[in-house]
Amino acid sequence: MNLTSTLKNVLESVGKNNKPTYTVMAVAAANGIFKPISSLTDKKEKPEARKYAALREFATEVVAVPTYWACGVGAAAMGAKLFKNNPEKKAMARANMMFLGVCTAALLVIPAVCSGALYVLEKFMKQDKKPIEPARVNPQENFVKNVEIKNSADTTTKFGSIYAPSISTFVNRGGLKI
Amino acid sequence: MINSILTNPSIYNITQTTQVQVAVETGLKAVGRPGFILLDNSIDQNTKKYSATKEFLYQLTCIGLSLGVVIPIFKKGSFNIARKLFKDEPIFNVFKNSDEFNKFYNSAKENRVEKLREIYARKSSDYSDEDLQKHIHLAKGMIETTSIAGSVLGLSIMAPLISRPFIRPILSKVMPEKPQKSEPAKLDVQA
Repeated sequence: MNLTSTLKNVLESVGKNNKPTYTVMAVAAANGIFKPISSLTDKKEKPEARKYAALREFATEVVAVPTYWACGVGAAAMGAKLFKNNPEKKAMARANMMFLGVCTAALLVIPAVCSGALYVLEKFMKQDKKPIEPARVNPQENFVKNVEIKNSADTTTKFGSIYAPSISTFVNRGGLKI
Repeated sequence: MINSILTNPSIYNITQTTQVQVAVETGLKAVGRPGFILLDNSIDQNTKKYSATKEFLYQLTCIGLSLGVVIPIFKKGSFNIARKLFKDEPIFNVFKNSDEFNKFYNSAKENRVEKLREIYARKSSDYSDEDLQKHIHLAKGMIETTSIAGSVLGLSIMAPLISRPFIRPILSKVMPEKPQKSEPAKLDVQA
């Protein structure tokens, strides 16, 4: 079977029954690839905002693809069950219910799942990233410490400047008697 | 009531076209996504309004672009592509373009095969009913597949690029105050 005949079979299948899931899943999959790329290349946004938007868009479409499929196929199965005794109506109900399922996914299920997932993700990230507190600096305390350190350094290193006077200027003030 | 809606052939025919599927799905996204953003209580009011308006305008751009520009172009070109891919298929030569085929497809719902046989007979061709049915499905499939390709191109590649310069001025007019993102407090060096 060559490529042309395979393509022909695919086209005939789409022509026979153009399932809504085909379109929405194709669009969602492409959105998952190209929308984050587009967000990342937006130079007017800050790098952090770009990354966040790209991640959010990617996550939304990752949720959307299986949700569209599940809602569409699930609804179609329900439609088939409802009209299982009427084969003529069964096919019609399957297709129409699939469309309804996809619509429900687009309107309610995907936004709800994404909101829930983002809420959990943000909580998770907040737990992971404990806010870095800036070092508290007390200028008064630091000033005193610095002065003390300076003074103590003077006494030890600069020998003879204050605490060890020169012998020529030494005056015995009667403190020591021989 | 629900049973009649579920088994309605008109609804079936409408929902089988890619254009309708894309329009309805994007329209629902334009309602659902901003709606859920507005319902989120963990974001401040200003950010909520900004994000919801942005999402709404983006989805509107998607609908306009795909239905107004991309799908019609792809639909028109579908038969030209098909003629190159399937040179031996008579259906793509009998009908000049997709619009002509769609007219035939919608007008002759019950007896499409017979009508196609009549059209073919003018061209002195002989095919079985099954072949004719396959030809109809092939042409319909070609139109819908090119429409899906057009939707993918329009919604995923072109819409994000086009919406950026289009949405920003509208947003700045509708909502002059862009929500400020909280930045970490800067340490006062002089203190």
